[in-house]
Amino acid sequence: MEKELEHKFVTQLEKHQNIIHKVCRLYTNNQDAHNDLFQEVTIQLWRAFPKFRGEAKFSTWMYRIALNTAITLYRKSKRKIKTNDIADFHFKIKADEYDDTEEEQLKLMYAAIKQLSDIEKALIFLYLEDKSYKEISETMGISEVNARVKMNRAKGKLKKILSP
Amino acid sequence: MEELDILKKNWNKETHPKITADTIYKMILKKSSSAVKWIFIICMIELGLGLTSGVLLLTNSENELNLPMWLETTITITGILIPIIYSYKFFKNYQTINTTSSVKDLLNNIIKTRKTVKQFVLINLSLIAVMMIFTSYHTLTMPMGVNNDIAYPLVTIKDYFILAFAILIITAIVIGICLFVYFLLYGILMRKLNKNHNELKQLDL
Repeated sequence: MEKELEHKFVTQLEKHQNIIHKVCRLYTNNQDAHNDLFQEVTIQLWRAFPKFRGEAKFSTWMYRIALNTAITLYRKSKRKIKTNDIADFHFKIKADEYDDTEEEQLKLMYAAIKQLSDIEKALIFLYLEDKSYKEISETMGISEVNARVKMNRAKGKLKKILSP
Repeated sequence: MEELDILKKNWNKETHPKITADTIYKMILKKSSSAVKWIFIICMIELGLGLTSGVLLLTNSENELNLPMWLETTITITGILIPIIYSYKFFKNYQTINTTSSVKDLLNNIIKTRKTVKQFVLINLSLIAVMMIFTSYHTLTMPMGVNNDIAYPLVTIKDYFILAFAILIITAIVIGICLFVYFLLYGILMRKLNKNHNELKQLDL
């Protein structure tokens, strides 16, 4: 029974691992921290898995746990962050869509997002994932109106960082 | 916002090193290093210390200290009731900590659990302080010769001062350890949680 559950979990996680990678991308500054957070999210998901009843999609369920882990459970790694880590680590876009200017803009954008608070990062993450304000408010535990207000503030903050 | 939209357009095109099923199997066997795990461990230690001090209070009240009857009864009842009530409250709160809750609910539940244990420890410390004050007062003012078999062999005023000083030192050490735990350990562990909790709370104002 345990083996079966384990197999089911690993298969699903392997399939949807990109969600965790994307959360780690916003909340960590280097590859080691990325791997640490990935592992912590995986452990938390595995712990919660026996209670996962399939009412929501596996991916939706993953969003909550991954974000909750990044915001509440994860203790930042004490490893020293190298300045070039932020912009460069495993930043790869498929070669056929490569655009030099765009890549530069993306690097700046990521660097700006790193300066946001944990909560603002979560909102930006959900925006990038194309979630509705209803879903955002449910994930964060705030009202839809407040989610909008907070989202606008986070976007405003990003704008300010990018063009001081 | 143009730059954010560029990121959104490219968001799902980014590639990440693929984690194999084998690595995932290994990961789920590893131990969590989460802040909540540490808060839980420290809470358990506090509960343990609280229970021990409860037992100590009960044991002390059985000694022939000739404390007033109402005080002995109060100490016995609180010494039994408080650890039971708070242990129950702690585990009830801990069970509500659920990673599938919303971010705000999860933060609320962690902070609520932490507050329960903090209250419990403070009540216990207050009880110990009350006990110490009464016992010290009783010992220091006990007329010599009335209860010599249990009375401390204090003959001079200097002895009384030494005893009072010893009580002060012990109390200071106990309080010092508690303050160290609260301000240092929880300061580090709860800083991020409190900050994020406040940010979400401010939105509701």
